[in-house]
Amino acid sequence: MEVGLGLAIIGIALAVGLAGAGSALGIGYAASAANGVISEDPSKFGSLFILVALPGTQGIYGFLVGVMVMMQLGLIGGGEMVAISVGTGWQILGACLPVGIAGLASGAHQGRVSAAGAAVVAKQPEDFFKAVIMSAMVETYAVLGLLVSILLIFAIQL
Amino acid sequence: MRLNVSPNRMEVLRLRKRLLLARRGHKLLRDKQEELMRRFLELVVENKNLRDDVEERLRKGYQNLLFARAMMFADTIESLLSFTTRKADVTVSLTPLMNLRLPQLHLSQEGEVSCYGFAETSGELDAAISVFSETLPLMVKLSQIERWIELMAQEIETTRRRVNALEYILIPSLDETIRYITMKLSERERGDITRLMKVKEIVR
Amino acid sequence: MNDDTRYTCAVGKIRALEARLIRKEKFIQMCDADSAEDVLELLSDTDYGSSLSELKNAGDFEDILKSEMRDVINLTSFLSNDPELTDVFRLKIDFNNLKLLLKIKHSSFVEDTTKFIDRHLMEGGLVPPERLKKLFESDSIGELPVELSPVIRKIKEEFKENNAPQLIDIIIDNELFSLLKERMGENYLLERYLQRLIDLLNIKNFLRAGNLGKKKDFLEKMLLPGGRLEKKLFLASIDDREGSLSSRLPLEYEGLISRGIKYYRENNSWKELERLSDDYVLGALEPAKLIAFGIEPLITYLLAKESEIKNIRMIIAGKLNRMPAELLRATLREPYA
Repeated sequence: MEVGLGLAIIGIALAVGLAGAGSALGIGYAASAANGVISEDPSKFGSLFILVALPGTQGIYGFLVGVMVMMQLGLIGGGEMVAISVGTGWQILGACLPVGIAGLASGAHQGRVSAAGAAVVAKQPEDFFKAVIMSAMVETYAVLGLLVSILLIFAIQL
Repeated sequence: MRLNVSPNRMEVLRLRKRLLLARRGHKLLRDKQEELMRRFLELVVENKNLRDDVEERLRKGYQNLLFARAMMFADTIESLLSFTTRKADVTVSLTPLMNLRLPQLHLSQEGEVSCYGFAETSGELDAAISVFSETLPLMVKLSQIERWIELMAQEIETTRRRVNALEYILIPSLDETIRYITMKLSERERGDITRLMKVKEIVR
Repeated sequence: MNDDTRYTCAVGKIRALEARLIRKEKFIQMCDADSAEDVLELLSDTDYGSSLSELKNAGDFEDILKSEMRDVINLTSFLSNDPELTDVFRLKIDFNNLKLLLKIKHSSFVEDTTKFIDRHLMEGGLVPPERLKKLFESDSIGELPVELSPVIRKIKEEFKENNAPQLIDIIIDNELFSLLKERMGENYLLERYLQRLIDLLNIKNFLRAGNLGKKKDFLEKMLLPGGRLEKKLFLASIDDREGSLSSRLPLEYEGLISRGIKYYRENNSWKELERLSDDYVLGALEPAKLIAFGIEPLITYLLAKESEIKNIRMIIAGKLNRMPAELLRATLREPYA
């Protein structure tokens, strides 16, 4: 039984950790590019903020999945801890992976797109929304990962 | 204006000689003045053409230089051009013209003009330098002509004054003096005759 | 992916700065302005505005442009994580200073030398002018940066008997371009830029040397190393420079060279060739506009700014000398912005 719970917790850790790492990388790129622009043109802060914030969603998705699993297992919320078998543990671990992996890759790449978007904002402020849309395209795959993870978690019979 | 001389026959003869001399001198000086004027006008025309030519060349040269300067890395053009193996020297000799000594300028140049590397200079610099080095002999010639014109103008001025002095002062006054003396002499002659006639009457 | 994420912030900054480069329409307006004062007026809402407004006399604009160029070089060094690469732009200044000092040393130069040196040594190199002068006087070449001391030694060796200042320029230029090649050669985009630069310089200088009646041994020394076109190619077409050279050139250069030569034949000026070359060389860096992670945008910005300063200098000087607007417009380099 402990092995099952351990596997589930590894799943949670991967979901939150990988997605968070993706977001951190992404925001890192985007924010330093944005800082560069702001150092010369502080008036662009508003638009740049949105671009920088975009890669942050992956972390939130990962966090969401993590919390959902924890609630399902009764780790939080004060309810009874649900006993799970090793098999279920593996299932939960697997269910957590889509959001984690998709979050890692999409977060990092969304950051790059946002960094390039910062250049667009610097040069053609009127094309800001186009840059946001480009960046949001990457987001799609994080959302799909999130969706599959959630569906899987609800599908698992405890 | 009559000269202050004693009216006698010797003086008339002397004055006549002087008058002749003055007339001859006057004619010579007039000829000289005309010749000077002719050459002077020729030089003035040449000077004008040459000056226009030089100015046009220099204008083009400076235009090239300006572009060369704008296109070059930083402001290195002056230090680049300060080093050259070209040496230019001007020597002066004098040529006589009538009673003038006109300076003749001879420009001698040796060595290479363009002593800069090519990688960081514009091609316009070559053009500027070649224009300037082609213009230098013309500029020397121009200054020679201008000096000639100056000297000739002075000479024409003095000659003109001499001609005028002869024509309007010396010759008229000689003329007048000669006429005065001859009148004085014939007056005296007539006086002598009257006096002679009077004496003759008294004697008779 | 071969991205250099160390430059993310720097590129952001550069993009913001690039947005302020002067655009073509503005340059055309400047060309058509009535006087130098009007040009300065037009510049007042650009980056040059604040420093130009302190200008009392339009003739002093050169100083402003010089300090602007220094600022850009300093900014690039500051943002750079590869000092090796960005230092070459400062070394260019050092090399120019060296040229001056070496020429004074090796030629019979009569004017008051200390005053001359003080006036013409440039700020902004790796070695400050004062220090360079001192080290040079005390002959302690070893203390100079590693890029400079070998050059001086080389000049000393090759320069015993010959007294042509041109040779100093040529040796130093060759050294500078080998250095550029060494430093930029590893970056695809910069290497392409450098190759175009060297090739076109070689072609132009080959033609120039022809007009000045230079001989083969001079060419061999003068041609810069590191281009795509080899020296052989130039030396082979030495007899009929313009004709046979253009038939030997790669397609890439052929068009612009033949246009440049045509203009030269008609107007006796390399202006057009130089303009086309400059545009083509800088065009090699056009892809840097799309690079978000890498040093290329920095270098590109520096070069774009240099070209912009050239344009401004030409226009103001042209206006001060009452040049016709069409001539200025025809000489204008394509702005990067």
